[in-house]
Amino acid sequence: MIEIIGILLQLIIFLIIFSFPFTPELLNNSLGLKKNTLNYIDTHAVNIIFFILLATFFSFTNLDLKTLFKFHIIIGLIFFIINFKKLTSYINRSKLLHIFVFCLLIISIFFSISLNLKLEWDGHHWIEKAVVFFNELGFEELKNVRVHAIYPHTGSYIWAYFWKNSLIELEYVGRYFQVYFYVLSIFLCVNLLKTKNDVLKILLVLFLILITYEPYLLAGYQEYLIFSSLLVASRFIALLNFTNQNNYKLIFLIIFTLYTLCWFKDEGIVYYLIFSILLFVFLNLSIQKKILLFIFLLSLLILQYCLQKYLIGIYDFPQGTSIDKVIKDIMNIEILLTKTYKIILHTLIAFIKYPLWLIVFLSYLFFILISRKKNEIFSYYTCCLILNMGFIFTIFFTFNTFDLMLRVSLDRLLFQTSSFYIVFLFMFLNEMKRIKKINF
Amino acid sequence: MKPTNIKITLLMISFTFIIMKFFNTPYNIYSLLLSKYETRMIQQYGYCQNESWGFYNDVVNKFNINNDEVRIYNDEGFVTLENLFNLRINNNITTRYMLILNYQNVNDESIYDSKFSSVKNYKIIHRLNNCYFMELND
Repeated sequence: MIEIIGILLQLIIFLIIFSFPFTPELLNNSLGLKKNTLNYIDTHAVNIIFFILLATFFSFTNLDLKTLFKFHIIIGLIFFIINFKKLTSYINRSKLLHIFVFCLLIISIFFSISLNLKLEWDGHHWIEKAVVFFNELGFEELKNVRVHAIYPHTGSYIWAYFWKNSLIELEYVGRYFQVYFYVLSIFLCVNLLKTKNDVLKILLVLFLILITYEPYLLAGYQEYLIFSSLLVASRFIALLNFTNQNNYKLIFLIIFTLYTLCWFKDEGIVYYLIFSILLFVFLNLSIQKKILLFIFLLSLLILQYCLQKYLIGIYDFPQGTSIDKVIKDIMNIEILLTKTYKIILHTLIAFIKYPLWLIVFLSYLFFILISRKKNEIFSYYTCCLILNMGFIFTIFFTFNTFDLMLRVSLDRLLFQTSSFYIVFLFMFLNEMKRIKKINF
Repeated sequence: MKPTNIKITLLMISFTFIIMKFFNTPYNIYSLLLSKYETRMIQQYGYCQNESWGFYNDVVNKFNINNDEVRIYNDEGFVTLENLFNLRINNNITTRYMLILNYQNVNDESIYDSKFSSVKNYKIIHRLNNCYFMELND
């Protein structure tokens, strides 16, 4: 019984602590947006990104997790109480349905995890870092973990944070953050659909959950953190005006959202660079401003390098590759064709395993067919998709344990970035509505 | 009751059924009420099979070896669970404790005839089927 109470309490804790620091009014004003541009779901997502960045910072302070949590919950409660009237005014009939489905989904997944407790293979490696934080051994111990000491640690820190500060103090409660973030990000992306039909939005949410929910990846993996962060970034990128853009605050929000990827997994750095640099290329900014933004982008990466190299004491990438071997493979036509064939085959298998990709490509194709005008944002996402796939192809081509990595990693790597392109689905649906082919 | 309220209520009920059926929520809640955390962990990881969580739990609680260094071998190749028990894995032959799980023996082969290095320097403290908890001889 205590476990059930603990699980329900965890949802309430998340609702309270992620209502801080932004409210919709504050966020809209801060970002220089019109009054009702961003709603509570947007604000909640921004608060989670804010929390992730804060968690990364605090992971280097060796502060007691319980004390930190007490401050966090007290501040969250104060904020919640102060803004209680605004919150209740927001909950009208239609929003009540959203909130009900949101809470029901989260509780259902929470209970599912509490029964299927097993950590999968990588989960046992990621938990090593979580145990370092749980036992308060200090971030200096991260370099001494047996497996993947070089990997970033924010996901593990957050795992330990909620593990240690749960009512029942069991390991699986620490993984509930990923579930909460994932479900919230799905609700967030549905805001991209230009409709006031709340039932349709909820049906779309349920459909997206159906095709993206994978309990295996909630068993200690970090893919859902990248998946959710990219969904949040994608939602805010869709707010940008690519032709006449001066909203630097929104741009910085997007950069910081993408920056969290670097702290979840090593390949997050590549996604951060690809999606950010292409954003600067496509935005209508002066060259000087683009250069400044690029310098800022790099400075965040250098900050991560310095923190990991000089504070933690270790910085590297997991797959050591010999350039000679890669060149040799490329020059050998048989190996080149064999590897290319295998990568394409496993990619297709991944698309079937995680059918969001099929939805993305179908939406992309249909959008091209029905839309006469392709705007800048479409071009931006297309370039991101091409470079993303190029990166996946290249990195797998260079792996030493090529066949093994194809079998165990390619599908997960593809899954985690699929959320970024979900915008094609909404582009297609919005375009269909605009040309009055469907009415919703 | 207003028509919009009836509509919202019906929708809530429909979504509740859909979500609960998809995630098997009533069964999960029922199982959570019936089984303690330890029982569920043994169901998932096995007692003296697969990852053998049950044996780990038994040993850690009986012999109070939290934070100790242990040699851990799972002879069936499953992942070791030291991180779930605050154990520190150290496969040095002078480590005080050793856990051998799912030992694959042939005919009447004893643990002392096994491939594990320096096993003859250890005495069996606790054993269940093919799971052994051993301590270095003085």
